[in-house]
Amino acid sequence: MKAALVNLLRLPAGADSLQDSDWNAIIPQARKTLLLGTLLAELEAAGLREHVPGEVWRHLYSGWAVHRKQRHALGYELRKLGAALAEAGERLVLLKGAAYFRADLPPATGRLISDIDILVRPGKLGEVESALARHGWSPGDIDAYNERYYRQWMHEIPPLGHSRRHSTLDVHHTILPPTSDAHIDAGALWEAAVEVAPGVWTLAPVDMVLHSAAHLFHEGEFGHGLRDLVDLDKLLRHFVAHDGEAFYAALAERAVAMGLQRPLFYALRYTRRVLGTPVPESFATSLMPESPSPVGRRTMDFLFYRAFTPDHASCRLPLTDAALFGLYVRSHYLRMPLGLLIPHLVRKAWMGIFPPADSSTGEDGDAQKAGG
Amino acid sequence: MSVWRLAGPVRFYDRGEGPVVCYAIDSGDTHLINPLASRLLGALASAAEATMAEPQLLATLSAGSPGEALSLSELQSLLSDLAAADLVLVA
Amino acid sequence: MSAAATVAALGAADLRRCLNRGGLRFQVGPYVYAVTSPLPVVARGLELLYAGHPLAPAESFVDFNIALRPAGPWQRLARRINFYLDDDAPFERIAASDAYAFLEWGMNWCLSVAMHEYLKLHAAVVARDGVAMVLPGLPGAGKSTLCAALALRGWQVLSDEHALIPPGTCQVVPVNRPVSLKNASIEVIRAFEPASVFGPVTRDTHKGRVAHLKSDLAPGSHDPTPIRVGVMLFPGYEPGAALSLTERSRAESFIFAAHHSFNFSVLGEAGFEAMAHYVDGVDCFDLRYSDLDEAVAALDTLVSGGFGA
Repeated sequence: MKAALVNLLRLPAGADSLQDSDWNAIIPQARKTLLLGTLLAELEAAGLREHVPGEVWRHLYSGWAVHRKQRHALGYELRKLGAALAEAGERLVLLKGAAYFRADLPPATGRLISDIDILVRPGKLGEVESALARHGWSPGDIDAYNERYYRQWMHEIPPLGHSRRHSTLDVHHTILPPTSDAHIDAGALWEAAVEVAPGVWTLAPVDMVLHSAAHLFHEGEFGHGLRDLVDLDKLLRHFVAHDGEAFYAALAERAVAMGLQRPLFYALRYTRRVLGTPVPESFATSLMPESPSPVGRRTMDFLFYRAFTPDHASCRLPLTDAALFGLYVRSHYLRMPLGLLIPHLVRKAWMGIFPPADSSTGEDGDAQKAGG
Repeated sequence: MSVWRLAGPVRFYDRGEGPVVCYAIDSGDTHLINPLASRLLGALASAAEATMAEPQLLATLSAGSPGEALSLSELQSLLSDLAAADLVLVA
Repeated sequence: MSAAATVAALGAADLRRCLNRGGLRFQVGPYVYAVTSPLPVVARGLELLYAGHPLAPAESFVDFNIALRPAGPWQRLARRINFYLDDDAPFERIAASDAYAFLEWGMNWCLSVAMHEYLKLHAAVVARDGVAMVLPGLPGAGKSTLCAALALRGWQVLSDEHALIPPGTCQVVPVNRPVSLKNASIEVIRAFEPASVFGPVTRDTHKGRVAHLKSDLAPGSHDPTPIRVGVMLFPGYEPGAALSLTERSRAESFIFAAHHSFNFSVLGEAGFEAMAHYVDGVDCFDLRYSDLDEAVAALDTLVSGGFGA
């Protein structure tokens, strides 16, 4: 049984038979999964605006308005970022949402981003950090333990905030942490990058899809699971429309080279089942040797279906909290050697019970939250 | 001496009262500026090739207010303030 | 427009039944709020302060689905509750004794952070004789106290928190809810008008004591028709100050309003245009006052066109 939002994304024409009670499920689902703007764009493109009551439409519009502002602000932010990186002699290579925006790819339509992700060569990390600091970006308040976690075990410098503009920047030196199974060649990703606008680069199409798949299945936080699956669905449809079935062959080859067959297998399994992405049967079976046993697959289905269902009472599947926690443990296992895993989890749980005292509920903090 | 241009497109809310609202479209920043600053930005906005050198700016701004000559150092100080606010930059 | 049944028509038992299950659904201007809560103080407060609000039908689309309840059995024992919007708890837990203030604050928050079909200013809005007055203000400038006083002297209260301006107009949309007052202001207003109706007083919040004044006394308080704005007023309470009403430039008023807007920045250039259109249509003033009666009289005169430019 699919969430009402998922049904509507698959078949926008269904909007003309929805009741107020249906919208009472769909709007909160879309808000939680940051898909309000995306849904507005789908319904508008399908010519269905008149079928949506005005009181419902204004919620979709609210998401769209924030998207529009983010897209506009990103342009300005990238100019500043480009200038800082140029000082460090490094290209501006965008990942995820910011990449979709700047390259004008289908996932960008209506999408809400949370921060800007860039890829930097490992050898340049120090220079880049210094240049960014000179231009106003800093890690802010972060305790030494979390800082070490970010630097050593994750693939990120701690997120940087701009002191004046309040944008958030995640600087990556590879697309998965070095401790995981895969053998990502960050240099190869870099070499294959494409220039989508003067001085602005993104990963090559196959790498963008693989990154999206890898990010989805290795990350611990699934709050945006459905949105990320929607991204993947749109990327696949777009690149296949452009490059034909040859795209799948290139994708498979790159996945094997980087050891990312498992994430890719799951990616295609779930985009097809949840969103109906037309992945050819032959491609899925060619990756079969890498898939887990039927029992393993059923376990994964249990875990992942819950991650892709919006976390709202109207559609929450039973045992969701346990499933999400299971995924959090799993993603950390993929990142860290087991010996270090337990102390880290214990500390994170402690911090969950006694959150930092300065959690902001003032107007500025709420405005940031509202931005989505 | 430097040649200047606008950092990006701007819009003004000016009702002839003195202070003027200046909205920088790219950054979304909104400023309250004095009439002189407003005339300076307006001059840059309508300049040929969108740039003006300091002597040119000095002449244009002084012409607008006879009897109140603007000194070069005052102009440079104003330009420096506007640059800090990301409204102008050296071309 | 047919007269909708109001919350008062439900009766105490049905009101509590709705609050316990399914949610009490009522209209605030163009929006429908649904509130679910097992807490007696919430039932008392809503029964008293929202008696005049139109009910929304059980199956209607809900804009803000709110719940105020303990997160689980441990929290219930510890008398701590959470505010939920669409099943999400965006804030830290608070003491159950703070519940009513938290509810009203949370209802404000919903409208502050979501919805961008209007240019939204952080301001009180009142109206008299078909002309609205917007009062943007820093906390502590006395705008809520002044708003409460005006409500008790025949003015219509459109909101004590949000000025909702349809872009391209110089109008505001009514979203009447109780006026929130803190500490000494509560006594000031009780003294100003002994017949004033207050909801539950919440003590020991981080702001001190908070109480809410029923503010829909004027007929047509729940008529959703937008009202033209004539005046934007920046109030400043100063103990002992003589009353003074001085004009303020439009440009300065623009900037102040933009700084006190919830979404001027989000709306981008469209926000700039909407603000320009709005400010062009209003006369802007600073008000210094120490005596409420004097202030009310001055504003009565201002809006009826008695103020010489």
